[in-house]
Amino acid sequence: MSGLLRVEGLVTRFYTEEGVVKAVDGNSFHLEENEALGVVGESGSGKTVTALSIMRLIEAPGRIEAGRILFRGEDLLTKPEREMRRIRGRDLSMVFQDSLSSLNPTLTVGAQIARVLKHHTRLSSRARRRRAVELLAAVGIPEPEKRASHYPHQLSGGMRQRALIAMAISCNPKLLILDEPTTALDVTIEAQIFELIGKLKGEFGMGVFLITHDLSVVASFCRRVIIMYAGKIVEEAPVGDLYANPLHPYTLGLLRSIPPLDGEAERLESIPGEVPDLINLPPGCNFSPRCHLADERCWQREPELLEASPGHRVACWKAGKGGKGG
Amino acid sequence: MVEALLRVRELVKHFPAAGDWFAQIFDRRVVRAVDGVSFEIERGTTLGLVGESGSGKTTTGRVIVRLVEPTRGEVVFDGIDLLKLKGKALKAMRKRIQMIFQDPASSLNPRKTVGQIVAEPLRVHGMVKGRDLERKLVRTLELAGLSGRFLNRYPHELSGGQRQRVGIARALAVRPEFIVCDEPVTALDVSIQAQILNLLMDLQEELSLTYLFIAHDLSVVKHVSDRVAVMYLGKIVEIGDVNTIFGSPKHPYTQALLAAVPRPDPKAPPRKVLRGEVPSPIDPPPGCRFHPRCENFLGDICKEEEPRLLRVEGGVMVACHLYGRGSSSQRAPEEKAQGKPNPPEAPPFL
Amino acid sequence: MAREIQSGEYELGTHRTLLQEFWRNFRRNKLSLVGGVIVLFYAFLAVFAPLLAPYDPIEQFDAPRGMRNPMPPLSRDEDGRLFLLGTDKFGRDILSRAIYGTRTLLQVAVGSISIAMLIGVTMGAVAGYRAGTWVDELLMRAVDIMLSFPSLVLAIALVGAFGIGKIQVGPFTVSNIVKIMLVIAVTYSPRFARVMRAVVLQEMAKDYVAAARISGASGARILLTEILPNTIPPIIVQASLMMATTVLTTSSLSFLGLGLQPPRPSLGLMLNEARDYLFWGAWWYAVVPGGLITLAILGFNLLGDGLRDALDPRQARRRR
Repeated sequence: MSGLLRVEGLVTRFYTEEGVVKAVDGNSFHLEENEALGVVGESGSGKTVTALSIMRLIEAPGRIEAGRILFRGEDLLTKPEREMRRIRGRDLSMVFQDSLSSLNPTLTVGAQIARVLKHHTRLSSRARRRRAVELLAAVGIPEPEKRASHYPHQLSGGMRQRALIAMAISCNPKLLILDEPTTALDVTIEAQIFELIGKLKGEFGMGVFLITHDLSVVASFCRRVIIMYAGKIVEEAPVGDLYANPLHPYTLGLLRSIPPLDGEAERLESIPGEVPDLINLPPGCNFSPRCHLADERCWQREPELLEASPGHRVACWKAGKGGKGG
Repeated sequence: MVEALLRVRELVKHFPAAGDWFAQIFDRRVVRAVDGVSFEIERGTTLGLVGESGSGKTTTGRVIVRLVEPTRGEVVFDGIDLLKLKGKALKAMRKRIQMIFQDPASSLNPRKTVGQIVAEPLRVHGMVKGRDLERKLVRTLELAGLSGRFLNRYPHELSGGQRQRVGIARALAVRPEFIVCDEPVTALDVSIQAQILNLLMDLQEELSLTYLFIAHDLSVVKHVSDRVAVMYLGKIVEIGDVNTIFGSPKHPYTQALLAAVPRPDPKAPPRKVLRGEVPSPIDPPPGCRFHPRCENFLGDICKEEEPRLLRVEGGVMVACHLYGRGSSSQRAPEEKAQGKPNPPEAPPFL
Repeated sequence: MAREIQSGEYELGTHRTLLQEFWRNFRRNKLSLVGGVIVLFYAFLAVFAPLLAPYDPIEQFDAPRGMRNPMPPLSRDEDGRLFLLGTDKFGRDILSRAIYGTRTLLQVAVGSISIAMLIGVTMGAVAGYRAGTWVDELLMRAVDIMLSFPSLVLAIALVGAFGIGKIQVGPFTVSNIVKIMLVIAVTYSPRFARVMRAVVLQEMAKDYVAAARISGASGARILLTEILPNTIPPIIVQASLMMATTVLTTSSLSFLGLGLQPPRPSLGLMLNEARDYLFWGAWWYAVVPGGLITLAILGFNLLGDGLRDALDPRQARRRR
């Protein structure tokens, strides 16, 4: 057994009236303890579905069709729902993007944290309340005693996101999944939140699975990055490698789409076209219709995710060729 | 200096803090959304307006297009006082000033086809009729990068990027001179953002448009703007040439904002964190509104006296006591603020 | 300058009109299809009543020797006339009366809902567009006052005020049926006003309205061409659900003797007459009109729910 989380050949599909949505299509990756892994993709790339699959929170018409999700050596997909409920929130936690709808509007923040503790620990009700306040303090909420008795709508967006994180770490999870935790927040608040998560990661030694559309956030926070496109991992690399030497044309396109803050860019190199429909995926490589390097082979045969250099995997027939790479 | 197409002077917009007229009897507090904002935009250029939520940037944009009536202030467009216009004169002016919205889902009427949406401004002004209309619509769509085949489609059949192109086409239909772009790429995927930014910049060149570009994303604003204004709690704290400001920000808030932005580069210095949150615009801090969070806090002067926008070197205007009010009260910012992209140089005498 | 223009099938996807989109959503829910079929059945009954009814609904037939009116289903009179669903106490054919009664019921329901919609939608649109002003305040407080009465009580009070039967308003004679429609319309218009105001407010907050204002469109133009089309779906849903309530109110008024007057066939009135005979075993007398009323209410409710799911998915999700 190696690693905190090892996902092998995960396939998750949604059976809708329009057709079968191939949301996650045979992906494998792993995550070590005390490691931050970034998953970057645009809408419809399958990054959130991957996270929900790990949490076993896929609901009908969705189904996990194949694969194994080994969490500390045990396959989560074979566990009964009762056991999953014990694992969720205790060993495996998730923070969602929309803090307002993730919190119960009728309960105070303190009570919601205490509830999680009640479910997973044997603490007395007074101890739970005390722990809730401690947790709010730990995530940097000023006046935690007072804030514990506040309702979600009385807190600012940044405070709510902190409260959600407090709830997620309340049982010292081994793995924390963050789904676009700062997308709705201002940059200065985003910086605060990531500083906090980084600190907590060091303290608890947990693995962090960070889902985002923002390559910049990942660069400063994660050790390794996975790039997803239309349900598939197209590239995986240590951050240093990925930014210095991106191999997949999509990764390169994404990087060049970001207007630089330091230095000049006359014109952005945009990726033409649109993200494909997951029901009618193009044959061959999913990215081929938008790729300026694509040829016959790309349109017909799907490339495999292969190791280009140690720790750097890429799924592209043209990897490293043609594009200037960086 | 080239003539300014748009001149905004001492613009103020206070919203009542309470909901309806009844609650307002008991609660007379106001939200100071915009509190004395002045700037100019030269013809054919882009002014970027950045700030976090609650800074008042969106309200400023909406006052200029006359969606929101300001409390006071002056907006002069091409020598005409916009805020005094009524009836026919206002309608005529609407042909010259248009807007592109943030959320392409809400800014397109779901019951109308793309053709009807783009045709609406033309119909209102009775500009084109009959056969010419269709030709004009196709031309306008193509200007925004869509083919005529989109004319009969409904917004829900389009992707986010395509919808935003429709929004752009609608703004272009009456061939305006000035467009307020309110967070036009915020709701879009990264790869689509770049397409739309390129489109907006191409259009500016082709049609010699003038933009007020409102966004919270600093890198986007830097990319499209000639000049930039940084807003905090209803006030402009720094305004000037974009490269000067991004290269060496003067105001401590601008510095903190820039230092907080993540770079797509693992080797970049770590993000610097600005403590605290933006205070409520109902009861903003006295003196300099940034003083409770400021690293270069000078003492009582910051708490008591509101700094005015003063010109420093490079033509940049800054509202900060670090740079104003003669030599006695001056103090160079301490090096304690490390990791700053560029510490401000010694302020000039004014 | 060369600009890449999006035009291929790949960028466009499949095209559906709004109607096709609606039908796809509506079809999904089988119960709403059932509701639709029931409502169509009633519409059929109402439209073709003269062709479907075997006898004149007012004509009285004598019971054969050894029998008395009301006669049970499948009885025949001395001339061999078949009464499929029996006769009432005056020897009138229940089937014919039920068919004509349904027709009248639907006439009143459709008529009053149409008038209620007209009044309510106008009030709501004005209040919503002028939200926060005294006009809005005036209209909505009037609506509040009217909604504070139970609707049937209000309807009874109004009928009481105007009098039973046809009435004289100045130089105009208002027939009884029109008067009932107006009474019910007044009773229910506030509900439309509320829904309409809420929808108008919600739509006005959207940026497409801002875009229309920036385009220079007048207030009336924005209200009529931009906002109104978007209020149609929730109003249709409301109308369909209110049809069910109106059917009940109309029948209740008739049952209490305040609505349609005899000898005009009316389901509520039939139910009232049947009361006296229930304990004598004349079940058909009550079951036929009662069943028709119940089925109509069920049909309109199912249809309304289905329309809501198909036209207004957001609201449907909130309900679940």
